Amino acid sequence: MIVISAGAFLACAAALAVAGWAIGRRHAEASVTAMFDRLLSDDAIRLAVIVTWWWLGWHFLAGQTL
Amino acid sequence: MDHREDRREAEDRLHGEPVATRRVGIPVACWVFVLLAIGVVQIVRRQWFDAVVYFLAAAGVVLVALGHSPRRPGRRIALPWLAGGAGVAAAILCFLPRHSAGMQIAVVIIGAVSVAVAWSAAAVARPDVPAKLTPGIRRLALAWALIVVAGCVWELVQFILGLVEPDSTWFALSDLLNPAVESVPGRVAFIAVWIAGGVWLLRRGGAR
Repeated sequence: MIVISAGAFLACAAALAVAGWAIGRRHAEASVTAMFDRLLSDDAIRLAVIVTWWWLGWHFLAGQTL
Repeated sequence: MDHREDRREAEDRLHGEPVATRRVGIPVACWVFVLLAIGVVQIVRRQWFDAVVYFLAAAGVVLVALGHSPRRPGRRIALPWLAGGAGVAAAILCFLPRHSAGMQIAVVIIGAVSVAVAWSAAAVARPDVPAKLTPGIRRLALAWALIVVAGCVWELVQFILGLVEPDSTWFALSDLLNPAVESVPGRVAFIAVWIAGGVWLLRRGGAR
């Protein structure tokens, strides 16, 4: 079961990389950095993303949740 | 835009205040939904602190989107200062025991500082350069969103199956990464990636 679980997450990670590469080939300006620049140009969304990022650190390092 | 919003804008102009964004657009609404959904999952997990964090974050995002936030400072944070501060924080985290009170305090301080920096937009690398939504970026964002949602659904399925059949072995992402983070090299690698990711995110943004 661990192979299936891990495989699905690895497939998602690979799909992100492939999508970034394939779309970047057709649209030179469409980089992951440019996408995040656009996404985080909104103050409210920047706040949401940073809280979500912070929680990952809390979850794995600090919280008694694992 | 209704008459009430027109009147608010007129009052803002009268008092010399900049006209704030008064509507919660679809992208912000989607993020509010994401925050609330994760908060609900935390309730199911009986992680009350985590749930409160997400619900407060959702409320804060709505308030910021509606323009109800204090005036931001104009001072900018250069990359050397941001990276230096992040490096010191990462070094401190590496010496703190996992799940200890010291680690919790340190991570909370990092969170508070990061939220303040994110809200002020003081660390954005190119704040005056327009961040355009080109067809290519729209396509990339849609593809990434679909893949991330698929990953989150898989994570949720693993989590729910773990609740329904606790005797079986279901592996959420946390279960898979936990053994690696438990080791010292794994923990140092996680801290490095997490902190570097935070610095990278704080530098993203641009003019609309």
